[in-house]
Amino acid sequence: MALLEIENMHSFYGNIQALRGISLSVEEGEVVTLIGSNGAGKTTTLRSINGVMRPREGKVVFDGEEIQGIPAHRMISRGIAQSPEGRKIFPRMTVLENLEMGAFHRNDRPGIREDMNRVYDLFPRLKERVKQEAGTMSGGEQQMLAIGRALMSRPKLLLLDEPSTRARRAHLRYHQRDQRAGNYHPARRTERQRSPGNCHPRLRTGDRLHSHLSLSR
Amino acid sequence: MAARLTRYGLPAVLILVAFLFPLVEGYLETDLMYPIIIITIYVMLALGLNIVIGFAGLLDLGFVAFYALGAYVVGWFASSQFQQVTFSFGATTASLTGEPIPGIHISFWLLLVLAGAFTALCGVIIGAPTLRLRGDYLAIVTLGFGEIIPRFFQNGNNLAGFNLTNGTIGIKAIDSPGFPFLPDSMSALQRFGTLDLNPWYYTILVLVLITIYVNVRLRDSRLGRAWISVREDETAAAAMGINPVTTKLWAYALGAVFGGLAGAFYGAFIKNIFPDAFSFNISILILCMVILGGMGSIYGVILGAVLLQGVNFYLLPQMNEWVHSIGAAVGNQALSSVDLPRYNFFIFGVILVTMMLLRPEGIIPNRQRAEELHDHGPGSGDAMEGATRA
Repeated sequence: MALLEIENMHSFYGNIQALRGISLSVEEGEVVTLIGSNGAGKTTTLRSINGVMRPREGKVVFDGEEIQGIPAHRMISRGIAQSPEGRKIFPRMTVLENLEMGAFHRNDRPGIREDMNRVYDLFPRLKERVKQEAGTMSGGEQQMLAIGRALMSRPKLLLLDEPSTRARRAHLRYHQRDQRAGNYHPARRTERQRSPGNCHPRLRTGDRLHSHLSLSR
Repeated sequence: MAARLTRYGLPAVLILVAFLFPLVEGYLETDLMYPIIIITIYVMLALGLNIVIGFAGLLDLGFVAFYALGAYVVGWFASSQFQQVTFSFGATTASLTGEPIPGIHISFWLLLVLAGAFTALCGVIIGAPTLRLRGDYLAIVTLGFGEIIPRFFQNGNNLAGFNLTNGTIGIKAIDSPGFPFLPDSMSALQRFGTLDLNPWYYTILVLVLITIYVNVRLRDSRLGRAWISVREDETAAAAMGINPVTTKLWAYALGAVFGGLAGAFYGAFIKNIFPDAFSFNISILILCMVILGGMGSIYGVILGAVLLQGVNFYLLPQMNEWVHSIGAAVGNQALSSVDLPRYNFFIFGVILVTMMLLRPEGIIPNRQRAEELHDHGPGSGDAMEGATRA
């Protein structure tokens, strides 16, 4: 059984259908990259997984449980963390406060400490800027913070939307080697050649999307 | 060391001054006690609204509703409003004949708890459907709610034949607080009188100190952090596992509690409550205090409340007399008959506009709030920011 299994998922914005029957699966420890042109539905796919949107049809099975329709704020305690599109960091909190927010639902102080150090190892830049206000950092640094914050929840599944928009690729690579968790990366088609993920399901714009996406290895 | 001194030393000195104030006042025989009690009630209201606006970032234009509800709780359960029943519990009033007096008469101290619980409940009931709205829309709904509650009290004298609120006349002769079980030698404390205001002063002072303590603790709590994150970015907060709706509901309910407690004290202190005493103006006045002092800043909000109500209750009447005597001295008819307190909202308007132009973050700003107002970077674009900036 895969960690994440999506079956025939249909999502709508009002009456406009954005996803027409997406199916895919992510194994534990696997990095999956989703690529496609603008408007293909990459972000919508992620939003439908993480509870921001409710798919109108289809099933999302995570860790053996159906999770479609569960609100976004319940996802993190199930093990799904995300770094949303447009780096939704808290701009007026410091770097440290942002990272602490990532572990908001946890109580195990030693574990949080440990994860904090792991994030600092991954992104030494963040450690240098612990006391700095997040909104005053560069775009790439904010992206690191968004990823670091998502890792602070010790997720089983990490959803990164446009992770390399601004971040330095070297950082991403390093991070992916390290993480044993299943990662699911949507990124742009232009990055296909050098994308670090090992599977590339491709979404295409148009009135008919692939009704079934199988992973090409 | 210096930081420690301002952290603990300053509040300690201020509290000491507040506790010793009646001695000074009694010695100097000023007439300040009454206005100061009213000002302190407003400090409490402003601190309650500060939880909603300053911490959680929800623009509430109907805060007076909770103030009114708190006052009416005391009105209902500590007066002869309900003649049909006769029930007393720990009450300070007793008839001369020893006969039980009609109406419900419950100890003020119990009613404080009841008023807090009741207004919290009302906050949740009203908040639950409306808090899914963001920014301006929430402001409009709370505005409506602030109008509905006093209107309900005004028309509540005939609810299917039942007189709940006594209409525009309101509820009269509300019982005084007191400790009836104390020995007769302490008669001033058995039942708070209208001549000696010191027991009233200490009661509201303790209530305000509780409010401040809760404000401080909330600001530094997990919930406080959750409020900041929801205020900054609701979507990102949800991604961190924070339920935005319950988080905002807590702010609404806790703010309502202090509005209700202040109302309960006000009802007992003023003795006669009627719907017109809870007009929309009061919501705006409290909002002005929070904005003037500095949203989210506890010191700032207290100062804002003291300043505005000080102008309202002390400075304006004083100035009025000075202007009248100047007018009389120079023989100017217009000056000697002008009614300055009537222009209070004009003066508040001028103060507020000036503040927004010169120092939009308030007199004593909260760090994050100040940045939100000066920062034109990639903010959340939340309507609340626009509303308060406007």
